[in-house]
Amino acid sequence: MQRRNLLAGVAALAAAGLILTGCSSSTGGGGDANNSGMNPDGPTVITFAASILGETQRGPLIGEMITDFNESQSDVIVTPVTIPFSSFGSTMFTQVGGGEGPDIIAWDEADYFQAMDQGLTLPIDDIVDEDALLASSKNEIMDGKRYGVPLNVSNYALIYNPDLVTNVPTNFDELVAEAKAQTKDGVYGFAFRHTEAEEAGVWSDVSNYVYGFGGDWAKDGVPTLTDPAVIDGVTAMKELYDAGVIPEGATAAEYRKMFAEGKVAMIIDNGGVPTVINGTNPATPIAAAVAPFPTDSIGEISAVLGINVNTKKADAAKAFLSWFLEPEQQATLQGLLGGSQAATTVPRTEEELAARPYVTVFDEVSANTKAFAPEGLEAVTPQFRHIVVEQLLRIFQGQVSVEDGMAAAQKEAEGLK
Amino acid sequence: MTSSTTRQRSPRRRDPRRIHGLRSMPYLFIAPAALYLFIFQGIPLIQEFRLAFSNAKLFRPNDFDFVGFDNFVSISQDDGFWQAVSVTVVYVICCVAGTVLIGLGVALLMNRKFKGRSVLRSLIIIPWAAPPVAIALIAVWMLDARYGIVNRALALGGLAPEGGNWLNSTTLALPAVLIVTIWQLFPFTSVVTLAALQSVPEELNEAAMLDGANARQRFAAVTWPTIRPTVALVSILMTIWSLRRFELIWLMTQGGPVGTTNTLVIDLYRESFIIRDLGQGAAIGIVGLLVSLTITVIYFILSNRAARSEVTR
Amino acid sequence: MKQSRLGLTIAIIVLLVIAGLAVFPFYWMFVTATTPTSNFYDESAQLFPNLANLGNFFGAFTDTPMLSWLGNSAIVATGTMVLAVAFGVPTAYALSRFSFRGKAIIGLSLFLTQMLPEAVLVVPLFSIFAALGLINSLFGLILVNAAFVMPVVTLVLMGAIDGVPTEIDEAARVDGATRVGVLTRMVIPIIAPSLAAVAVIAFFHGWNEYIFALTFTTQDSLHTASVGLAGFIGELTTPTQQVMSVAIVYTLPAVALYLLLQRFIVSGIAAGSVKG
Repeated sequence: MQRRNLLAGVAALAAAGLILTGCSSSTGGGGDANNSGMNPDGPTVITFAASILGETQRGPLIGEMITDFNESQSDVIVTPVTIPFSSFGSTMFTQVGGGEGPDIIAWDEADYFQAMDQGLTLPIDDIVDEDALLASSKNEIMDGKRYGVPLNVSNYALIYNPDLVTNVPTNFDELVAEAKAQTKDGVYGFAFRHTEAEEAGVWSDVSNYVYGFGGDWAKDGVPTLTDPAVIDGVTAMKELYDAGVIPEGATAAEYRKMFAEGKVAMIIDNGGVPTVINGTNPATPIAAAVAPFPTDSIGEISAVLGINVNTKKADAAKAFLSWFLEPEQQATLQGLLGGSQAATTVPRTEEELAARPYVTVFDEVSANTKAFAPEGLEAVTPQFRHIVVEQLLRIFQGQVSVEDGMAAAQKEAEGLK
Repeated sequence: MTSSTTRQRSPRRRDPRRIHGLRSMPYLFIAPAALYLFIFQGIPLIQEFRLAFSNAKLFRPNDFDFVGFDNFVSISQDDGFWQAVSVTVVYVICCVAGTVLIGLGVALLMNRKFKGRSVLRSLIIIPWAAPPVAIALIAVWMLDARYGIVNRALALGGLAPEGGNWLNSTTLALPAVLIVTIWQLFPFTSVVTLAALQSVPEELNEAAMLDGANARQRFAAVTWPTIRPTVALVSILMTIWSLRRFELIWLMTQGGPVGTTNTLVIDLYRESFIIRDLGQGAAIGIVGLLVSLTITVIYFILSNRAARSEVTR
Repeated sequence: MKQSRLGLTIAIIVLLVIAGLAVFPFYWMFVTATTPTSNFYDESAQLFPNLANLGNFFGAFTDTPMLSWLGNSAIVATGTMVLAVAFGVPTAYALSRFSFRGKAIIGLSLFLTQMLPEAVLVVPLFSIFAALGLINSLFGLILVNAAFVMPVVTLVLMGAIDGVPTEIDEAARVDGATRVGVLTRMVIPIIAPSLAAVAVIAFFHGWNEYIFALTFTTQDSLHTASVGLAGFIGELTTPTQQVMSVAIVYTLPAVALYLLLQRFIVSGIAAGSVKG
């Protein structure tokens, strides 16, 4: 008697617990429950993750493009996914590595190289017209096959507030002088990323200095971190850091907002930033000029669209990407990207040139841009980046000299495979 | 331990906390939970041990080779790892000391009857209820070098740090993180210690007062022995929990600047998700677990010894 | 017991200062949320909330998916609470009342689980979740959160049940109640304060949890508020006022729940810990 009651009691407890949690849980994975592949029985739902979707200005506009696609045909429905920007790479690698992840991923370029190398993205030669693409998109080719296509390419240039800046610098010394001159009364002459929390951003920023001074992170797979040009570039950045012209501890989010409020005079930043600043405060004037480095070399940052190797709906994903690369969509995209560029060459419209004259500067430097990656070691860019930034931050904090820091980085980088 | 077949009711003989019943019954009560924990903590932990001896990467967590102790050798040769160890030790000690001492102080102050006491208690307890993500956000803003309210307040007394840097300063980042952590955790220790204080036998206190003991002597003779087990328990809980703390540090400094707030948990997260070397990350995790385990074992030994000595007193 | 008036006054003043420090950041969240942007990056920005800008809060509701986030957080938190207590109660009862082989080990294991940081287990757990089809599932989050908080629940309840005299159990058994009946009808009502305490602890755990919520969901519609709020960090465009508004709304339910139940929590935790 007792045993039966006991078992009944335990069973009731367990059942009650499960029922309660079942009632309080929500539905799981909408997209995954749908049919895989192109199926005439109903539209295929695919997921598309991009950190740009989280931007207040450009995000909803891209969302509109997605809606247009969904409404223009009945085979595929694309669901946008917003992953927090700061953890985009790690979240994507965790999910993809674990056999899951969104169907289409807009990788940060550095992560894209690693993903491509590890076979995590599907080849898409069949849907891409190579001739229409920008020159920089050849980065996405490995062993003759294309594994990704840019969502947007953003070149770097000097962005400044014409109301504040009196002498637009044309060389580095003038930049330092102007930055010092503008740092007063709560205004900072310059700003760049220099905190641990923004490792990828620091890497982009310092790469511009290194490229601008004629250096490279690596040649043919051999790190060149102790080359004189590289040392010059890093020293230049350190000079700005020590000059007291940047808001210390400020993240890019903060100093871009400060720029919008007229508290920062100049930044070397990418073509998407003026749109961001404009959206924060349309009243702040923005102008651009070529970055005042000794050489023309400058960096570009891309978000690269790749199809997840784990996807079960490759055809649907390809359908969306094909649509996305059509001239009409590329023109729409270009229009909303501001200073950034779409994957294909799209001429700027008259109205855009009138409203945002600075975009020409970003377009002009296109021929001189390099990706933020060590040549020949692209597949391990994230690890290389970590090594360099770790030493750079020590250099900034004054714990080690530029030469010693870069020497330490060189040694560690040589250990990378 | 009395055997489960005897049904004696003699109150002297039987341990009042044990009740006899079916031999399988306790296992039935526990089985669901045991299975549940095994699936969600046991199995991942075993996998983590395997990963620590492998060269797995984040993007291929299941396709790896075993490399023996390579990961452990590698981290022992890394200065950054030892820095993380020392940062963790400092962090844990300060956390525990800070929360326990402040908690004890607050509890002693609150252990009197006055109007509005429950309101004060409610207010003091609020930090513990706040989500760490929200706290990290407001803390970063409050500690902003230029516009943060902390610097503005300190400037009134001329105490603002040079350049205003908190989270970007190699000297002030760890104190800042500690202050925020202690701010969030002291309500817990206060509440628990206060509850223990309220179980201090009043008669003993009055007897001591009649004997002419002053406040400090009363505390040492009457209060402290009663609350010592609670303080010990709270200390060990704080120790273990502070070894685990992640969101606050990660969202405030990510372990920087230059590793001055890089605890073992932060280090292993970075190793796993940013450097994407799962093997190394797991190795760091195992080391952290061993540290926790050692502390717990020491605690149990010490508290057993104390309990035993109390019995014989 | 006599206390000097001066001593009491000093104590109250110190406590007021401490209470003020405890509450100030929340106040500051509110001030920041209502600061107009023009005044924001100003070294002498306002110290008091500008009530004219309460509209910023509405912006938080309309411009961000905050309602969806909060809804998901609520579901995860409630589920965690229910599941953790459902598993914890029988386990605590068994550990308290029975003696059996392996009991010491189980008790110690529960304590040991407190040492496992989520960061250590998140990658292996991801593989398990993927295999079980629990990715992109709030139920999956509930399962893993409850697993992590259940040991605490069990330990506290164990201490509380230890404090319930076994005579009560026996009296009920003499009256013909089953073991389960003893548990449900006699013991549980007595330890209700501790139950409230652990329910709140479990709820907080689910509400505040970040790493799993971030890693195990790919869809926006399933993001919890912790993930949504953390997403603002490093994000370029959302005004800080809006972020603070979201932060406040995210913090309020947890704080409110706590304040409502705090009388129980205090005695409940005390019952669990003083004995333990």
